[in-house]
Amino acid sequence: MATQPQHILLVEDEPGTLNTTAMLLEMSGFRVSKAPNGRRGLDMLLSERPDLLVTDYMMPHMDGLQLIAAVRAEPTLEGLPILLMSAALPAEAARQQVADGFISKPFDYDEFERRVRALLGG
Amino acid sequence: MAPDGAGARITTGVPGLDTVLNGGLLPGGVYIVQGSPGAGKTILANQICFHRVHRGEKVLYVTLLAESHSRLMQHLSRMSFYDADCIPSSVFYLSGYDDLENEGLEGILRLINRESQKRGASLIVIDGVFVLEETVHSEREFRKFVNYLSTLAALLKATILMLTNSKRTQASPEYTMVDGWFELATSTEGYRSRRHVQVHKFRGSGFIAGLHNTEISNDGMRVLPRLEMTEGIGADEAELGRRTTSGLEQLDGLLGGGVPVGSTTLVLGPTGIGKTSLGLHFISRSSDEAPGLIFGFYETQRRLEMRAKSIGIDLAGLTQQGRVEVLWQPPTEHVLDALGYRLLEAVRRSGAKRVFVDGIGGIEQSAAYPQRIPSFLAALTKELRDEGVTSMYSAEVPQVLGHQSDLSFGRISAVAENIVLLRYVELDSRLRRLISLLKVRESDFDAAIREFEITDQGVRVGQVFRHAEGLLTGHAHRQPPADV
Repeated sequence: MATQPQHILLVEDEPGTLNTTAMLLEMSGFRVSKAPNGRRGLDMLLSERPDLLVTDYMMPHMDGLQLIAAVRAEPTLEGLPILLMSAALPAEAARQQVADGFISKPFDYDEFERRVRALLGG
Repeated sequence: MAPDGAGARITTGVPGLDTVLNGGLLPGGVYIVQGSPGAGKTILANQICFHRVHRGEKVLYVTLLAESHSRLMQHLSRMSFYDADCIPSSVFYLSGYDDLENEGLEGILRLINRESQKRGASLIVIDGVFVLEETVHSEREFRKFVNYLSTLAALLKATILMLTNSKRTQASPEYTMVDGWFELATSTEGYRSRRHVQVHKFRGSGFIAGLHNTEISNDGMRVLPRLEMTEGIGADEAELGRRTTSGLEQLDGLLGGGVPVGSTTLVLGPTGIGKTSLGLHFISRSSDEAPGLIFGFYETQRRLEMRAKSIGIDLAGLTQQGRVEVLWQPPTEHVLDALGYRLLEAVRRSGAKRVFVDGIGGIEQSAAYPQRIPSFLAALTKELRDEGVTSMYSAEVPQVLGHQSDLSFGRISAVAENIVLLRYVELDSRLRRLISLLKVRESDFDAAIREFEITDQGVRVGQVFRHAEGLLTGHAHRQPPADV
């Protein structure tokens, strides 16, 4: 029986980055869901239960840090690994280590995929 | 919103732009910044953003393009005004693409309202307004959006910049609705390309109309308001009557005791005759109390020092002592106003009281519109006078030999208060150098024509030519001494 591909929720407000990163992840064998902001991302997290959350920081409606805070406060999402990505280094986020990993945009895709696989335990 | 002092202007932090805008933007205003791709809209807007942030404000930057913020920040990171530490705490970039796609213009208004309140933003930038225009179904819908945006700006007490590359005219309906309309553009003449900005509309304030050159460097955008519109108001009348040395005692004698303080002296002559040597004598009298500045186009500091040394002037020593600064303008394309501001800034920085502009032609050649030169130079010389500067300009005339009526004194002569004419004359099969005065401000002067020489001890002005005539034709002949 074939194994299910690991499921990633990608939350990013820039359509170019969202679609390109999703396409590359799919080409690497992952199943990807996409959300354009933190609010939609949280809804999808609760309904889809992905294996990994990859989220941008600066987004409308609910930013990346707010999304991560909501995830950490939600018992049903306990243990969900989170990779935070941003064009700006979120100093406070880095200090507080709110996410399990951080990658600066623009990123090298191979490096990004390594981080993704590491967080998925692969 | 942090006040900017009198009149509660929102300073932009873009050098020169606030001068054009009589102090800056007005709070709560909606402004369109229009320009083709590459015109500098994004740089301008971000420069304003970081300036406001450093005044303690928060900024919301909404993009409607598919362009990535990371690429935007990569480009901005080369700019000196960019401060990564302010992102995202004070400058918050987000994409409105999804809201526009799903909820249209109302979605964008809701997004701006909610996010600007959440972030406490007093400046909002909407980058890519042409995407909104493409989304709407009618002009009426877009006008409605601009109207709502104006209301929102007033409610939020925020200033809004709308960046667009669509070509709008004054007949465009939204032109009447926004508070200001600024156009960034590039014009090409021959091989030369120039950037400029024009304020078409600025509600509630005066502004300096017309085109103003702009420059973009790693420091961001700089607007160069047309010098003649901003500088040179009023002369320092208190200086009238005082004299200072020209650097040559013999020339001081001809001038009636030196050049008037604060005056402008034009040294005219053909190539190689000694205009720069005269200027070096003038500048050699700089001191700690009255420093000098050489603003030149053709010779580097090193070459000028060597030339000065050859006539017994220790320019290198003067520069080392800080009494003289040499500001060489490399032989590249210049922007007229940029040269003017560079000169004035150097004067203000160093406190120079003697300025020698070696090669006024360098300034004239930088003018895209030569008809501006007389008013530009009038403003420049007046501003230098206001700074207490006594200035000397060298200007080359093409004629090596020839009648005086053939001479073109150039556009500078109108603003020169003293004119020194250097000529060659052929006499006894030998070229001789002549010096004469054509004009001296508020003074009688010795109009006699004298020979001068350039020696290793400097310029030596000799006696009046008494036994020759036809000197100014360039071909003199001996005249026998008159019987007594």
